[in-house]
Amino acid sequence: MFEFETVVKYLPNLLHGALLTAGISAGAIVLAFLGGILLSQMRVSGLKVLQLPVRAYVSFIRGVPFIIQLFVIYYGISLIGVDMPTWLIGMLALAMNSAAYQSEYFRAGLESIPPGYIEAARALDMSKLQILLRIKMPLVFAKLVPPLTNEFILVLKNSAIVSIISVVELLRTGQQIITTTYRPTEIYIMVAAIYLVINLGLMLLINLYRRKQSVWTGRSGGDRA
Amino acid sequence: MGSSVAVEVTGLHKKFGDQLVLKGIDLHIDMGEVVGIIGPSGSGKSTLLRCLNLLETPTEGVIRIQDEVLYARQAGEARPAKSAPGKLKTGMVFQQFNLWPHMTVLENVIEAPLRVKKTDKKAAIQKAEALLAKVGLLEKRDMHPIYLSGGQQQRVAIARALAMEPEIMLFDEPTSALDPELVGDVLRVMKDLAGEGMTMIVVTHEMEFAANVADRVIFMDQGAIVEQGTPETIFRHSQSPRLQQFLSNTSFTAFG
Repeated sequence: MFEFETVVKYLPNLLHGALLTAGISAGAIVLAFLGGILLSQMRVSGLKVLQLPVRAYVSFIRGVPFIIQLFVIYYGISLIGVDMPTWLIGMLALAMNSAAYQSEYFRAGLESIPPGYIEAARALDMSKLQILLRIKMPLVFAKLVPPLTNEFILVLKNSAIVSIISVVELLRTGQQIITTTYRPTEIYIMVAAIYLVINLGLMLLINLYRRKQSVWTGRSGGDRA
Repeated sequence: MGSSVAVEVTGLHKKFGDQLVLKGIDLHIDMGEVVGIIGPSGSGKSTLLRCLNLLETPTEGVIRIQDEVLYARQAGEARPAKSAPGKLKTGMVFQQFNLWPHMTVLENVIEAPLRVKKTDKKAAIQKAEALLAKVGLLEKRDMHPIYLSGGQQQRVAIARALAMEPEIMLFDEPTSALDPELVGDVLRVMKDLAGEGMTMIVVTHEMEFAANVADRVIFMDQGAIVEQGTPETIFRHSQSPRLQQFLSNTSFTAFG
């Protein structure tokens, strides 16, 4: 029998955990976004000293399971004697992971900008930084909404993995409740439902941005020749 | 004449890899002059124009814009003695318009004045509106480029370049990407500009424009200036067989 009372009784605890999940994920997404832009700029800089470390970093992140990256960072930080709350370590690990993927998206996006848009800006004497912030980035974001949406959702779902370094986020909160109630089915279904709701909220935000954008991309989202 | 110098180019070379596309260009243009550059594709005429605002970095040579050296590098020097100093005095109009798609017409025009010249926003908008009225597109100010025809986009692009108050306007085949019925509006705007005394350098396939608006026509072929002179000299009394052949291949017959 499905025990609704258990779910209702522990819902506030679960929502508390959900808040931490949302917070860690949001922080990681923002950090990874900024980090991804920085890494992509190093990658397209044309300077080997900047390019090679980024390439090595991206290969590492891509080639190693996230849970192992998490352990390396977790034990690495305690090894060098830095005292850091586990939720922050989890957030950093998520951010470092996602930044590598996002940098690759940004790089592809930057390379796909028609050079004429950049030349027009250069001919008007705009600085490199102005061109990056005012021309390149808005054009890149427009192209990258679908892959970035996936990436953001992935960060949110990966945040469940940081429960393993005893961050009491949504999943670990659920597991703690299960050890006292022995109602795994009810609690896991509830946990799943909350992840889904957070994700739907995230997608809603992204769709709002897309709608604003469709004014200039045209309905098809296609680009001018 | 007593006119002041707009552009002074000496010994300009440009290589793309091993290919020499400009083979020692010497060119002198006075302020107020309207110069048309014609020639077959691959003759280096666009490259020459793009060197004048350093969209292309020359391989060697000297470029002066008015009283300032824009670029100077002698053969064998490891790096240019001078490249890209202070502010550009040129505005450029491209074959593909290159309006930024994520900005409205007005935002396209005020962007550089706001960011580069740090013009006050109100003043920038006022100036932009005046320029848009001048090119006949004020009513499109809040639309995005995708909703404009090619000819309209090109006129906005001209307004965008003019908003920076350039001393010299560079046009790189401004009508080549346009449907024939849209060419006229763009040429009219350019004629008005020439009539106001703007110094203009126009790389073009529009022989009629070169013949009727330009003070001087330059014919380029294989990276060199082959012949230059008044439109009448170039179109009616051409000296070089290469130019005669080029003209006979175009349908232009204005001078019969």
